Amino acid sequence: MRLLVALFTVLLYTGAHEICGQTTSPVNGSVVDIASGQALAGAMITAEPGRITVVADKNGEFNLDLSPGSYVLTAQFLGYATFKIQLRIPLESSLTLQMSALELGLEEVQVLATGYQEIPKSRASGSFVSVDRELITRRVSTNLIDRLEDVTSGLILNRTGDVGRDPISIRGRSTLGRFSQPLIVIDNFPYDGSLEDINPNDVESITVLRDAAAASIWGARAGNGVIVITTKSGKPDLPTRVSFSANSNWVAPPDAFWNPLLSPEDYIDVERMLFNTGFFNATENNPSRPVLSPVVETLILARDGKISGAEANGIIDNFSRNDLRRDINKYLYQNQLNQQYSLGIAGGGKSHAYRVGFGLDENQENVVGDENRRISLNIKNDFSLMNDRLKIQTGLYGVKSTSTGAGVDPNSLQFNNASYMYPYARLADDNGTPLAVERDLRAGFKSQALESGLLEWTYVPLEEIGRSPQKSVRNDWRLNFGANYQILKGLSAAVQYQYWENRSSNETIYAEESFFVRNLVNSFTQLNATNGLLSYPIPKGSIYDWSNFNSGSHNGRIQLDYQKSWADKWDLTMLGGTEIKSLAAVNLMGRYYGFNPEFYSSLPVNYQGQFSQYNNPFSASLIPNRDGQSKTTDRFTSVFANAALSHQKRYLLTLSARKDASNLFGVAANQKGVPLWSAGLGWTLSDEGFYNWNALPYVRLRLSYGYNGNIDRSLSAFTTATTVTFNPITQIPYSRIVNPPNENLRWERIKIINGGLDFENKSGTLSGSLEVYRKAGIDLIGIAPFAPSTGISLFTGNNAATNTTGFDLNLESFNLKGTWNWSAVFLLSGIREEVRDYKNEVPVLNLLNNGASGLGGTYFPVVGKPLFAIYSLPWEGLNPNTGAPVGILDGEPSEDYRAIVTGATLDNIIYHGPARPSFFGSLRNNLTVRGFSLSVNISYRLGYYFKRTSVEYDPILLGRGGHSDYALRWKNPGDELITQVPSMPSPRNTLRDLFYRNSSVLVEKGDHVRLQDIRLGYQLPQNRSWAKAFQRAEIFFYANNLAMIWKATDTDWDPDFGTFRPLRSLALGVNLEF
Amino acid sequence: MKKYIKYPLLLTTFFLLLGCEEFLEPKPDQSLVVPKTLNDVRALLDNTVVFNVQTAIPYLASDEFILSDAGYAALATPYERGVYLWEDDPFEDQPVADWARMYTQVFYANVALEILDKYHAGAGQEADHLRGTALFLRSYAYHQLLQVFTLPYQREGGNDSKLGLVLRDVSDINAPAKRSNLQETYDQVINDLNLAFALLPENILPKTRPTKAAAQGLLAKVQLDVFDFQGASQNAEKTLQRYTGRLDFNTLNVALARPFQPFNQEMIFYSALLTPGFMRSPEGFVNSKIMSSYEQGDLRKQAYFLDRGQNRFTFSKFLTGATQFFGGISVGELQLIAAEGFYRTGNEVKSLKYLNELLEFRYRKVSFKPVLLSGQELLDRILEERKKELIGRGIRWSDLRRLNQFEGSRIALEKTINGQTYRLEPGSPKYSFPIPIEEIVQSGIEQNPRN
Repeated sequence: MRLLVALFTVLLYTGAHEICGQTTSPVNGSVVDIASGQALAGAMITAEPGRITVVADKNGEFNLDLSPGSYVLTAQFLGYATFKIQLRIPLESSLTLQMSALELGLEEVQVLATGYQEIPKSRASGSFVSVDRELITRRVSTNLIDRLEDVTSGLILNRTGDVGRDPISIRGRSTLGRFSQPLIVIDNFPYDGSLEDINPNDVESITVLRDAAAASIWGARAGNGVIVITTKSGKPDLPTRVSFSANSNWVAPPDAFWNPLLSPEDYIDVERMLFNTGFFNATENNPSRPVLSPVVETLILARDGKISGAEANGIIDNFSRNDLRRDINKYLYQNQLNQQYSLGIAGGGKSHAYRVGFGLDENQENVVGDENRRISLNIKNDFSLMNDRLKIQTGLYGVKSTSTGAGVDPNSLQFNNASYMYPYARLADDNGTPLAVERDLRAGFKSQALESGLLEWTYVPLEEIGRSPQKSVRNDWRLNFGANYQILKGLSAAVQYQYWENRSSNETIYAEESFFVRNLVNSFTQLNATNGLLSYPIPKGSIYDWSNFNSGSHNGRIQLDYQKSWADKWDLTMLGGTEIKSLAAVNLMGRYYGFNPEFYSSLPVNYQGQFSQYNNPFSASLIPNRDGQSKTTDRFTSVFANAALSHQKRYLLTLSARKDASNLFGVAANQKGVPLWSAGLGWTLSDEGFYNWNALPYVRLRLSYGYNGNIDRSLSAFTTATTVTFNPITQIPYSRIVNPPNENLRWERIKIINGGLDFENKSGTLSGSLEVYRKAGIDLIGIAPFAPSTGISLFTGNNAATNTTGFDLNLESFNLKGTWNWSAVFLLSGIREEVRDYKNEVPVLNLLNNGASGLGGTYFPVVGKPLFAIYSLPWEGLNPNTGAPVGILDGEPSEDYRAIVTGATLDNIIYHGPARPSFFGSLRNNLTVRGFSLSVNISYRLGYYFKRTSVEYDPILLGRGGHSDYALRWKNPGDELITQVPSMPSPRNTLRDLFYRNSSVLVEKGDHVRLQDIRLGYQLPQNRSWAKAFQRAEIFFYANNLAMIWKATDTDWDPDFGTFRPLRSLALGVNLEF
Repeated sequence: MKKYIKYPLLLTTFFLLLGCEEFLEPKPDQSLVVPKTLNDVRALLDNTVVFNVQTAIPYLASDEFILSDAGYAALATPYERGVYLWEDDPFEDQPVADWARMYTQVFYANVALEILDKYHAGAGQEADHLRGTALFLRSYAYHQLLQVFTLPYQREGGNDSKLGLVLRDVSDINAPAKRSNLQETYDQVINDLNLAFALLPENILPKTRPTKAAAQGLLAKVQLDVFDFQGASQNAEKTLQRYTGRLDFNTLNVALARPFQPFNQEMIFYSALLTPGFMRSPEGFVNSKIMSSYEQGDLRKQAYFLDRGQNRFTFSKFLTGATQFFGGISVGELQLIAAEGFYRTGNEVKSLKYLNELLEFRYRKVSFKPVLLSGQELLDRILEERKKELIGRGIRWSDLRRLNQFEGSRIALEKTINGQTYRLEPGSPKYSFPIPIEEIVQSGIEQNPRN
């Protein structure tokens, strides 16, 4: 078997005998595109020896006259790989040279991958979005998913709503439960690993399945849409080609001042005021010695006459000139720098093709000392045996991701467990020498403890950098094997298997001198009352925290494919098969005390004893125990089938069905399975005889209907309990009821109707598609508040339904063609979501407080409204005499906050609208001239609302700091004309805070348009001698998160990032191929 | 072609697997179990996060602990402020653990009882023990709820027209909720405790698990609530005969920060109070009236309290030997129930016996002199000892509810914050806290009147 031949297939019909006596023989041939069979007019064919050159005519045909002998024929065509073949002249028949388009940057035939088959776009009835190489490589990012934003119609990366649990939505949210993420399929199998472990440079294409006809083949896992990722492979008959790309991306650092906190001056003013009311007396006299801030300590000294009032004022004035946020910007934040390199080697012969990909990502994160590295290796082999009847694919994909952290997070600089660090803390003096800040316990107590023989207890944030190095390593491997055997013409059988394994380990080694260790050792230090000796239940030495997450899965599939065409009119494709999956995950975690990194040894501790705390001997604590274990198993069996029948390529009927069964706990076997199906129709209207609208020569209509499913694996039909091994009171393991019995538990179903229209105008300058859909969520699992007297406060069951309607419009235009090429892509998605059925009435207070994003994964659906919505209490301004906020009670202005809050009902609160955009999309303009290309993407989000945050006086008056709007508060009569921020209440009034926090004055429209990104590329001209070494060479700049073009709100809030900003970035990169 | 033989083989293996139900049998999560066995039930009832926990409202609402103004200002939740000052709307619509957590106990107990009925209907010692445990724990939860969310049991009768609790006999969360009357609630608690007593073992460890003594002791407590002094004194006496462990404070080093051992002899059944921040406040001081009633030589003064100077004491040392506030059933409480019960049924001799048995172990050996009081003086002393012995367990609140029904022992409570004085009159409807709003909204049960 020749492994690395050339890049083509030659169809030679060699004759049985030689023709002699002629000096030259004619060689007739044609040049075509290997994929489409289209003639390549203008291709240049050279024969060596002799350097005889001809150019293919408009039909791609050429003639050469050559003397008998051995020749090498070379074909060249712009945008295609150079092609060589060795020949013996004379030839008996004509020759077809099949050339392959270059891999990068050129449009390929659009094929939609579902993970079970690849179908040409013309044979699809469902809703697919295809993202090709060009779009995938357009953006610079470490992450694959980022590259789908604003180029994928109907898909949005959520910035509002419960973003942590729900980062991606395809056509809205199809569930009220916690499992809202699309299914990710990579190389035909669902992927259980982390998407961060996929190197975008290894991805050939992405297909997003949006409706039932497209996705129902994935059955019970398709409810939130499916993202099908196909990685790159070698191609047959392709000479060895090396591609290399590299880029560096500079990301601006965050600004600590975006965090809306009290200024040092305001914070000190509040502390002074609280001190004068005696607020800190309780803390001062607290026998467990809780920390007091430097200002309070100074005021105490002055009160006790240890320093004079003037001295105290001087010291405090100095404090007020510090600013923690300035120091954070200076010492803890830095530019993020992401470097990405990728190397690909691909090639193929007649019966074998291969690709090897290697990727390296090196990221310096924006907090000092934090780094990420990812190495990926991708090896794919494709064999074609037995006259192409047997095809075998093997794949190996390995990724190692390492992230290291220095262990100082600016957001977790705590003063004590209730408050963030006081804003006048100083991280370093003028010479940059790190300084201590107050934390947890009083400074005086800490120095006494030091004298008594305890470890140094001070906290110096900058010295902590690197003392608690965190390291996490993820190894992710996928092994693929596939074989496809053609049994008869049109009938083939395929077997596919994938093994996946992910081994992750996280470790933090807190050095002996780290604050974490010193604090823990000191807290547990025991003082023997009789002899005054100290003992250490937590040994001195490092503390080593570790966790390991190991998971692995086997996926297997057998599939039969059948294809038949008859009577020149009918085409039938069918597939059916069965699939099996087993996934097991084991998580282990623990901690070693007294760890010695030199010898890798540790010391045992007593986890069962109660130990007095050094700062408070009356309290007793157990030594923190991090031991944990868990093992989970997922099992699936499925059968699936899919058929498409087309007539004259004009009419199309598709059917798809799948039944899944799983080891879902406690469900009777007959309830484990759920059949899901879909049907679709396609009609190329413009092919009909009666169609004669010349302006729009291509019009195709599609319609589909069917069901997708969704699973919540945490539920069960029976009372289920989980074992808890840690019991500090009795040391006896016990069990906890996870969910009460639910005999009616069913899988969620989403019924989808989708209508589509594809069109193209006569000149081909305008094409696009419009899809309209309706998704009805049935039997959705919802969390319903329950009467606590039942024993549970929240119940999870199939108690809800939703309705989502929307459209996706996709327009592509070619405005200029020639030297200047200008094209534009316009995406517009509209969506209207509402809860259609929900059994329980949600308390209005929950809606006001948490209607926009839920609370820790608990959501508050209201019938007729979207799941995430903005509600508020009517606002009547500030009381001109007191600055107190005024609301409405029974139609009258009122300051009776308790009555306003308790009297709030769905009827008297304001519903503003959804918390997520109703309309979103982008406008992308591409301009190319000579070697330059410029792409500018403008994105927009419309039709939604957000709530600003503002000052709450409760934490401020508890000495915990608060919001910077404090500075804008009403102070004197007349201020109500210039501010809407209420005055400081006296005494504290949580209900007044609650009213203001949820009042309509803080609600803003979220609509905005952004200049999202710009990409400028320059392709080196091929005709320059210095560029000859390359098949293709491009350098590019990419700038992201550029600017806000327009926003509806007058405030300086960013609707999606609040007082924070998306971080601007600038990348420079090269793509080379040779 | 030989090498292609493996495909049909693979295919066959596949279909075999698919046909095999066992492939779908493994548990999705190894730590999960559908409880069925006696061990499973035991594990449910051993859940010390659910059980062995009791209400905190009686602690906050009684007059044992007084907050300074600063301490009041530092209270973090409306619940703590509202309960402390007996406000009309003490919870401000926030969830209330005192209600929800007690009903979680009822739910767990019902789940356990249903498994026992379904799979272990025949007798058997362990099944009996578990059935008794579940009945006891459910009664314990009801008894706690009664102290907070219903009016006190009326000495003068009419309890069948007063609002009782929502009584739940099944774990089905869709079963309708309805408030029974006060008489029905107490009847059920007493009946269940009698049943539990018959089923429970004499001895079992640890003390988070109830024994016959615990059931009998709780019965005595409930009987004291309903003014059944005969029953209370007899059951207290029997409990003390059954449970012979005693803790002599003379054996303790009361100077230690934690003088008590976990699960010490004083405890018959372990239960600890919920602990809102109020209870850990260094600004919550023991009522000076109670503090001054500890006499010279009373070991409890040092064993329970931390002297913070200026005649102020905080309740800092707990019978649990840890940081939890003990609220369970103790020897001392039963001795005092016996003393009061026998006194009120005319047996002063026995009354004095039990009082002195207690005091002997609370006073320094050298300063202990047996009490030789009689009549009202004896009763007053017993009630004073209840205040001193049982401080910080929420029992004072129950005593106030009860004693306010006796002519002569009625007392109005007063608390002063920022110069303003708040009063709780004897017999006030505020002795019954409102049902949390989410319960009213979800199940529509009748609310307690606050005025």
